[in-house]
Formats: sequence, C-alpha cells, structure tokens
Amino acid sequence: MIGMVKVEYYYSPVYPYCPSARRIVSEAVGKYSDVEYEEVNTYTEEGIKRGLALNLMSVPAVVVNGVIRLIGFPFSVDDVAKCIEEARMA
Amino acid sequence: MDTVYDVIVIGGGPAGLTAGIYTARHGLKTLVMEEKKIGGKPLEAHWVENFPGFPEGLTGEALMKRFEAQAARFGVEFKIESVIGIGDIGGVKRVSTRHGYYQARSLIISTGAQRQRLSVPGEGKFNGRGVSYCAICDGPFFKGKRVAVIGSGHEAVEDAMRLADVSSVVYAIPGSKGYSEEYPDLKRLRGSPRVEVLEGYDVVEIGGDGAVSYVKLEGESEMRIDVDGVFIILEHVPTTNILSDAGIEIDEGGCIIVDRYQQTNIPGIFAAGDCTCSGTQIVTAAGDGGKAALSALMYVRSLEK
Repeated sequence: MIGMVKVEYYYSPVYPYCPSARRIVSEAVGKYSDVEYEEVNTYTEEGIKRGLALNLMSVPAVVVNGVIRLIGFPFSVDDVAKCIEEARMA
Repeated sequence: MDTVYDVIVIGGGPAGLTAGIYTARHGLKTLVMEEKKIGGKPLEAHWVENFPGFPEGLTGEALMKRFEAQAARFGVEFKIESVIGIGDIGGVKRVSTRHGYYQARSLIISTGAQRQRLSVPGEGKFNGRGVSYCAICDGPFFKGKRVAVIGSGHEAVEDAMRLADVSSVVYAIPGSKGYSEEYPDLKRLRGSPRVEVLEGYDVVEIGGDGAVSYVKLEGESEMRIDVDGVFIILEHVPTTNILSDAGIEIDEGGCIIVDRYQQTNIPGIFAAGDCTCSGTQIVTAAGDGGKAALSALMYVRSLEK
C-alpha cells in the first residue's frame, strides 16, 4: 500500500547551505510524481510559527508527512529519497 | 568538460568574486566555483558598515549580490559544485568534482575559512536539536528561551547581542581565556539585562534528553547552566582540505602559503582571502583577490608567448 507523501523543506534565506540543500531536496522530490512539495521560509512569521509547532530548532530541515526527518546539512538525494520511500510504505 | 578555462576560481566569496571581476574584465575565460551559495561568509553578516564606498552600511547579502552582479557583467561563469580535489597535469590544472572535472590554465584558490567545532561531548548529538552554528538563521526558533553563546571573537559578541533581542536569557561564554579583544560592543553586551557574561569558564559538555537542556562548565569551579539552545560561534580556520593531494604548501595553521603576488609554490596556482589567513575582512579578501587575478593574468599571458 503506497500512501500519500508531503515533503516540506524549511529554509532560511540567509543561511549559505540552504540553496544547496534545496537543490538536493528538489532533485529527490522530482523523482516522484505523486509527492506534494512545499518550501517554508523560516524568516517569516508564518514560517517560524510552523517550525515551532514542529519543535524545529535549526534549518535546513526536511519534514515528511509532518515529521522532522533531516536537520542540518549535508544530506544527500538518497537520504531524502529514503525518507520519502519510508513514508510511502508507512 | 573539454573546455579549458583561462582561470578557475575556487570559492565564491569576496576574494573569489573580486578575482573573477578582474580576470573576466581582462578578457580571460573565467569560471567561479562555489559549493554553497555565491557570496561566501559575508552572507552571514547582518550588517556591514566598514566596506568602503557604502557610508550608510548594508547587509552582507546585499553587498555580495553587488559583487556577483559585477562579476556576471564581465562574463564570469558560475558553477555551484563541491570541489573534491585539484591537480596539475602537464601545465593544465584540473579541478575535480563529484560530477566530473573542469580544466584551466591557472587556478585561484579562495576557499575561505570555516568555523571551528567546539569538540565536546554532546555537540554532534544535539546538532540541529539545540546546537546551532548560525544565530541569524536559527535564532528565531529560540524566542523567549534560554541560550548560551560560545565564542570569544567579535561575531560571538554580535550574535549574543542579536539573540538578546529575542531570547529570555543569553549566557555569553567566551572561554577561559576571555574575549579575544575588548570589542566596542562588549560594554553594551555586559550591560544588557538579558545577558550574563560567564568569563573564566570552558564548556566541557552539552547535554539533554532528545534536545539540549544544559551545558556544563569548568573553571575555578564546575557549573551547570540550564539552556534550550547552544550557539557555537568560534573563530574560523582556513578551508584547505581539497589541497591535500595537490602539493600546495600550507603552514602549521592550515593557511595556504603565498608570496606578495598571491602565488603558491606551484606555478599558475594562486590563493587569496581567508584561506591564506591574511586578515578575515571583506576588504582584505577583495584586495587579495584582485592581486591574485592580476598575477593569474600575467601567468596566462606568459603561456601564450
């Protein structure tokens, strides 16, 4: 049974690693046609509010189906893909 | 990968972008490679007010966007890729990445410096779970919370002040040797009602259960303070790990050794900026980058004769 997956990428526009992390997350998400994807800017009130609701403390972070799966950089396309696969099978 | 550039600049900070501006403006086919984001370390600078030509000051990001735009205007190419090694093969320099390699007649290394790790128990375990290396990025998550800022340089002082604007308590911990200098902002830091400066102590452990909840300090006595976040803002060390197989000489501090023309011990390979430990200022890095570019220009022209 394959479930729906939503990937949220939390980032700060002032952190130098975030663009590299974004490319990796986008590449991983791009392998799947049925994964919902959203980028959340934590330099906004809305982004911080959503991050705090998850108990997030650092960016970049990858949240899959509402669960923080990866925090900080580096991580690889395979790391992100693994998180997506596990969520699909959950 | 068949293209042979005149110059490949490794590192897209102030030194590298200035080098690119100079070489491209002189007509050299120039590639600037950067593993993170074009702009380098100044992107983390909240406000820059000592770079000449900007009397009102501006953000580090705004300044570096100007550098980037100026380089692009002269035709510099950019690649965001992580360089894993460099080599000198019969006069052509080869720059390897995980995706392949690039070639050039000359190289300018401007890889900058990276922040030192504290290397105490708990630092790695709680990275992203209360341990942070970027106050401007992660500070907003600690609104109303207690944080420790560890470091003795001006960035640590600046970040402690920044966090005092959002956090309930900031413990500023410079280490047993105290602050590196009597920075102008230190008086303000010591006078801040939300800041407690703990001088004479070293952090020996970061602990918690799932997330950071305390740090242990050792000095004249042992102390444990309860915190929700630990910002490790130590001095930077040069990023020279890619040079290990290239035979480029570095000193005992890891700094690339260059002469007054920014020339390394290998002909056609130059270095500029923080990786040469020349000053850790945007203006000194930019100056070094310009000098390295002019030296690279002379080197490339000499190959054409």
